[in-house]
Amino acid sequence: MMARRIPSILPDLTFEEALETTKIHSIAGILSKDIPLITKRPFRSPHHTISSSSLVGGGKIPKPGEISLAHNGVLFLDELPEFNKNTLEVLRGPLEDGIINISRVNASLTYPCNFMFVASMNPCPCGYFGSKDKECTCSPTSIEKYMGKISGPLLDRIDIQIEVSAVKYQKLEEEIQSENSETIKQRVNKARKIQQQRYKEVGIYANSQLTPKLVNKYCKLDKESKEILKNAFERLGLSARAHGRILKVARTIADLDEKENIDSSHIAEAIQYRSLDKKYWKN
Amino acid sequence: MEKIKILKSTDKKYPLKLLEIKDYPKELYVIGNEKLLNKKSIAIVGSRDCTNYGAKYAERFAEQISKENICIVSGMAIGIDTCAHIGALKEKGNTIAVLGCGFNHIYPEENTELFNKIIENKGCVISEYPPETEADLSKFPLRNRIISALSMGVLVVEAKHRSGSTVTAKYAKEQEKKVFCIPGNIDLKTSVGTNRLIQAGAKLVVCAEDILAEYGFPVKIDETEQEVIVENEYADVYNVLTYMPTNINIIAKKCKLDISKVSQKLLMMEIKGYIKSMPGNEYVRL
Repeated sequence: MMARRIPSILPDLTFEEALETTKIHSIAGILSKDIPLITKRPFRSPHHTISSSSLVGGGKIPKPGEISLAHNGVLFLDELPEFNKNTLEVLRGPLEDGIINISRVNASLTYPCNFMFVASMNPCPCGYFGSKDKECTCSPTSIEKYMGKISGPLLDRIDIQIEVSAVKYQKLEEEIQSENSETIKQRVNKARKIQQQRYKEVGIYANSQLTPKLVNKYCKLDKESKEILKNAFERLGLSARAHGRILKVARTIADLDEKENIDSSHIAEAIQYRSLDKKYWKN
Repeated sequence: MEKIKILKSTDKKYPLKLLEIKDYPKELYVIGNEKLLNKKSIAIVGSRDCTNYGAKYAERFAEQISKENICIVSGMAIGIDTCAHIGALKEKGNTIAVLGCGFNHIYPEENTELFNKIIENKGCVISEYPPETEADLSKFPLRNRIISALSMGVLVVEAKHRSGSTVTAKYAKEQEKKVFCIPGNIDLKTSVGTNRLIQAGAKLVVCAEDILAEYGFPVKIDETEQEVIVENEYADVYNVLTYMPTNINIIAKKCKLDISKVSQKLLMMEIKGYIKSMPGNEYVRL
């Protein structure tokens, strides 16, 4: 449910983006007659039995796959370890490049696929690893096998990884006033504007598009933050590949905070979002 | 890899302690410092999937017992065994690992690193099986008789009902050695074995001195709890934490801070080594 709400807090589609997304849906033949122009960010959540060619696209004359249909929107994979391992691995390239080349006998096509990748999973086959309410019945080997279905390179491409604990029944009944999507969206739009302003000269519009060179330029750390990051890598056993991701996320947190520079609290928060990197998961 | 030495039961160097049991191994394969085999030793054994509590105390007990120049014997399995070896290595390596397989098939594979570390630090690894013997579950309970035979007493840290560790305790009783147990939460599967052993007459221990006292070591029990002093900025969050895991949502609620602030402070404390994060967004004091 939480994942389905993500498009509601994303910045509005620009006109160009709306045209692109509409084109892809039109090629795939799924554009409905009532909505000739897609103005809402798409949300695609294929079932875990999906094959790799329907995920990235394929066919005699290649049709766009789920990742292209999610262009400018969200691709949500529920129960990530249940997906076929090979199916997941095909995501690596597209996640990095934002485009997919599909070559078949009759045609070789390139579709755009600039999507936000969202996935959810249980901590172990029984679902109770680390839970206080019920003891986990899985053996260490079965947990390792379950986690092992998602390769390191794919995990590294996921910027934010957080653990959430099960909601108790009592809590479900309680009425808690939480922030609504509308106000969150305003904050997101504000941060997006700051980023557009900052990257005017380099031709990108968001932190996620920063190349390693630009990361060095725009994500400068003060001495204290550098120290924290260094210690975190040593003590928490983070993977080296996470370094650039942490900096980009910290930059975004600082933008949401409307701060010009990344300070130690931003970097600390960004590090906390790498929970799958931590050592305990691999012991 | 270091050379494998073979000790025959007729050799002078063969540890006398082992000859005292009736089914002593005819041959013993040894890598590392074989002098340790004749030293005073205590065995520390326990469950493979241990809790944070078990891991912490296996390591701490091993470290404190090693300080008295007593050797720590264990089975080099994952979980409690690993923690016991690591604790002993912190005190300069008086530790013996007894394998249930040959040296060329270390089980579990992840522990090859530990194996090398034990040897580097002048510890000792032994097995009654030739190096080519593959790991096989039926052999593991058998090697437990060697673990207990080499030791003056056996400390069981965490054990499930009828597990390998309770087998070690059984051998220890047959060989007329003392069995010690750390008590555990009765809700947990990993405490059933130890709590039952206590019920059956094993000595309940809460600190390393309880074990050392049995063997005539001078004991000074320090009952005053060591207060950890954390920086002022973290004190509010640290005070909410206990030695039992607490969920981040509860911590935030109790401190009346928002999650991102709390999580920053938790990270800083984890880096500084005051606390540890656990699966499920839970945190404990160290």
